[in-house]
Amino acid sequence: MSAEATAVDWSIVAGLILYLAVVLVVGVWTSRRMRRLDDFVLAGRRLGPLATAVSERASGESSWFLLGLPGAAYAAGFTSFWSVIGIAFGIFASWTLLAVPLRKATGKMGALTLPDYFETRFKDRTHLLRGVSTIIILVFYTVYVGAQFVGAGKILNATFGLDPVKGILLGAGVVAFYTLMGGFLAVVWTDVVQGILMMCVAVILPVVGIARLGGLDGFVSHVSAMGPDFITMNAGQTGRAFLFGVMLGGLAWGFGYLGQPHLLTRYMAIRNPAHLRQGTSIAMAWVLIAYWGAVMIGLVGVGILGPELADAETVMPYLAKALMPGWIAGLMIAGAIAAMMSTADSQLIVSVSAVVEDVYVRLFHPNASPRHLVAMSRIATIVMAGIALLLAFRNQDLIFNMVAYAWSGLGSSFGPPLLLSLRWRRVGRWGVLAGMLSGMVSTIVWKNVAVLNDALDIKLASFLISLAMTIVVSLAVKDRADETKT
Amino acid sequence: MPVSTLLIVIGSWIVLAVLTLIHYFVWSKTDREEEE
Repeated sequence: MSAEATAVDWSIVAGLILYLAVVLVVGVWTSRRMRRLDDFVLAGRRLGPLATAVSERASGESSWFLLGLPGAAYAAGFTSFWSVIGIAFGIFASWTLLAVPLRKATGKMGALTLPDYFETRFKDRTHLLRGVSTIIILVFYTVYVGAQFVGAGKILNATFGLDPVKGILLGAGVVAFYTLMGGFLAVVWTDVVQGILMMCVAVILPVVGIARLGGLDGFVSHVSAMGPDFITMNAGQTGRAFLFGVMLGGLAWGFGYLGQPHLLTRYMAIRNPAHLRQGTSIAMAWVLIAYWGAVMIGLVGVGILGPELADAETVMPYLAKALMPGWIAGLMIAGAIAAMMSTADSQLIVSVSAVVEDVYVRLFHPNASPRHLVAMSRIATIVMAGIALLLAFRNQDLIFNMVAYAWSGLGSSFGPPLLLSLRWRRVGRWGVLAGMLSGMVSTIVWKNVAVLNDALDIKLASFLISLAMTIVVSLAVKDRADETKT
Repeated sequence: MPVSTLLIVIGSWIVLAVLTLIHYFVWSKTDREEEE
């Protein structure tokens, strides 16, 4: 590293330390409020609309939001907006179709987790639904959390030259600490801090960048110089290649939002289901500002930094360093780490609740005391973080590929069964089971068979297969669900 | 800048903003009544 880079890095470190200090204080503060398992898992269902909405948005976006998405826009141009449009409509569909009925149903049932909901909703005494959904959660989330830890290592390595192993340990240590101390409540309040920080980065960097380029005219002339493929929505593709590759491949990201348990738990934790109306508006305001801004970071980056960056995904940190004073750049880079942490902590909580609530309580200790369960949750947090850490060390290159895989797997396994169980009375236990299993299996098959993957996007294909299986099996097998009104 | 790009990028933003407003003032009326 050059002397100049080292000097800049120290001011960046100051911004980062400031951020980490806030997060740790929140962890300690919220730990004093942990008394029962539902405090740990759902913050005692006491969240207001702002905390629910901003924390759902923060945990919905991993380090991909400030690194991957601006990187894709920097490399490919305006076609990145297809993913953003798909994602934005997916988030809108999740809030408007799932949030209210899921909160009401789980509140009425006393269900703390998604497996809990499925078992109670379908009066499943065989525990098949609980078992299959718990396995899906544990398999995909262990890998997902591990990938976020790897993300921490990569960010800290790219920004400070820190050894990736130390970066992974630092990221994992901080996330495990505040999850351990404060449970869901700590996760939610750190998410609120993180969500606001992420949105500020997505707004400030493009605005300052466009001003530096001489206003909108300057910006347009810089991106236009990249050629027609960069500024059109088809990236030079036509016909089938455009429809299935560019457009549907991008839009299909939205399907995943219907089946991510770490986001669905936010709806379940809100104090009053009526607050979800305000929550939807707050979440969508975040989406409309932050998502369009995140793509603009990449596009503005082309104008400010030129198109020569070796790694497109470093465009946000480099742009922050180019446009902002050191400590503000540090806070902005902390925003990318925040995006990683706010996802990892929520996924860790969902994995812990799957182990403690869905396995330990239901199968082994139904009468365990509240204090005992909080202690068990903390032990499970350490174990799950440890397993994710091992995976992170073993698969530092491959694990990032698993994020898209896990996103598709969770979205297709849970999305159609959950949506139909909340919105369609004729859905049955066997239909839900078929939807979950077919979503999981088709994701695995699609990922490993190149011909299928080339023919139709994995996220779209596995979602449609799961949807079809849930409907067909529900209609074919006469095992109708109870008539629980949601 | 191609008009089609601007239409898709800005148009989808406007559609979502309008849908959000419709959801708040019309579709979630039942929830609002409950709240009151």
